[in-house]
Amino acid sequence: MPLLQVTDLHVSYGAIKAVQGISFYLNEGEVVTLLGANGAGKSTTMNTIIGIVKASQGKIEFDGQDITGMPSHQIIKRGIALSPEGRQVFPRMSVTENLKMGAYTAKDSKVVVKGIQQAFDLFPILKERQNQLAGTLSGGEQQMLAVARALMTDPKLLILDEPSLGLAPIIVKDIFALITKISQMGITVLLVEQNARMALGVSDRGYVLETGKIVIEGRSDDLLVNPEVRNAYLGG
Amino acid sequence: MFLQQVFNGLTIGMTYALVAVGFSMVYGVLELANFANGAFYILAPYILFLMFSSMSWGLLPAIILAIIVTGVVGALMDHFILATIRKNKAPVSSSMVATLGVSTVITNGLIAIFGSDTKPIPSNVGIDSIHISTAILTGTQVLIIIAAVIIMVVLSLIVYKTKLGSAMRSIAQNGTAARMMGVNVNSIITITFFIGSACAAIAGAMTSMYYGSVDTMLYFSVSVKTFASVILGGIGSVPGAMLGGMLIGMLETFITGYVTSAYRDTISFMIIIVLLIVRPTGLLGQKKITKV
Ligand SMILES: Nc1ncnc2c1ncn2[C@@H]1O[C@H](COP(=O)(O)OP(=O)(O)O)[C@@H](O)[C@H]1O
Ligand SMILES: [Mg+2]
Repeated sequence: MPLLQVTDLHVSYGAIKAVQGISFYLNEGEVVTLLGANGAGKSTTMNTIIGIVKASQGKIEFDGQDITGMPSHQIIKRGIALSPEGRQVFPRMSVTENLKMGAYTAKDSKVVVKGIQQAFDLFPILKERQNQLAGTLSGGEQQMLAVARALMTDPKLLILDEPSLGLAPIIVKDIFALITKISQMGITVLLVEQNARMALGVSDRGYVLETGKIVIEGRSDDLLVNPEVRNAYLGG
Repeated sequence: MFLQQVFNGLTIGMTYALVAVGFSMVYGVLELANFANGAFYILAPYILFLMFSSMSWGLLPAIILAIIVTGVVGALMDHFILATIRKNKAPVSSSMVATLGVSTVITNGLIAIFGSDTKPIPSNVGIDSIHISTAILTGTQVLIIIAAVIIMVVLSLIVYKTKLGSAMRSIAQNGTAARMMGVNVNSIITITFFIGSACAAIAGAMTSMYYGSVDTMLYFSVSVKTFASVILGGIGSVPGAMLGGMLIGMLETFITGYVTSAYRDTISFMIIIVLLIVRPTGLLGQKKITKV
């Protein structure tokens, strides 16, 4: 059974039908990419998975349980963590406080200590900046903080919504290298990206979302040579 | 004379600070000006009056009951009215109107039950007054200052040192991200309302004991003082609210004592207007960091 199974998901904002009946799955241990242009419905899908936005139709199952319509705090307790688009760090909290927020649902204070240690190991820059307010970090540092914050509780599924957005190419490379590292830690990763080449390079499978519908799906290797994908997302 | 003014200003300032902190905490998590806060402030002394005078409870149990009941009323208002408005994704202004409605119901309810005349509140708290040269710090003043300091220290510890406080601050800074971290935003907001309303209740109970009476007109004056305090200190800032409340209390007392008592309540209005023009962020308020 897949770790995450999304079936016939529909999501609307009033009259806007942002997601129109998509189905996809992730097996445990996989890295799966969701590609799509701006406005395709990627973030809406992610926000629906973690319960920030409500589905109007369809089903989301995680770890064998139906989580459709559950409030976020219950979904997150089950082991899904999101690093949202645009980082969304807490600007007037320090780096350490932001990390602690990532472990908000953890009951055991050891989880917090261990999580912070792991975050500092993965991102030495965050250790240097630990007392700095998150709002004063650079874009790349904020992105690392957002990812580190999502990793605090060792989630079963990590969702990364456009982690490379707006970052310098050299930092983008670091971020993608990190995704491979996170996957090697045994965490299943759902990666949302517009940077198709890099994303498919680190993932096992991929889906292409266009105006709320999945139009192409397959193994990443195949998608990289797929003419439609090449034309639309890899610059021909 | 001067020292006496300091004592009196400090006492009143402490009560303003307390109401302002509670108001500010609620403002922080919702960006909502809770107009019912002033009603909670007068609700408590009426409960005190009822329990102490009519049912001859002891003063301490009566105060505790007044605080808890008022806190619960605030929490219920959020849970049954404001949470529903949030769920329907209505703008914050709808919630503001709702709090105005609740305050009207409470104040009119109090008038209906107790009448609009002034009700006596016990002012002997069993603490000896302290004489320093010619100035006197009464027992009630001692109680108010000590209680307010303790409560504000505890509130600061809650806001800055506990998980509940982290949750409140996370909601204030980025509500969506707070939900993404697994914060049960609605229950934290309801708890914040409990705390904010209880603060108003404590201040209301203590002020009425200080003056020895309560009447519903107090609602308007405390509401104005609360707005003035939070605007002076910086909207949404907890230390700012404390500072703002203290300053308003001091200013009011000194101007009344040395200049004229005719403009006691007008002073707060003038401070609000001048500040909104000169320094809209208040003394300790930050400029809002725009969310990306
Ligand atoms: N909060 C919202 N309210 C109304 N419409 C929204 C909201 N968020 C997204 N949309 C709309 O839904 C569609 C999908 O958006 P989104 O999921 O953010 O796409 P993507 O992440 O793929 O760029 C777009 O048309 C967008 O304008
Ligand atoms: Mg998006």
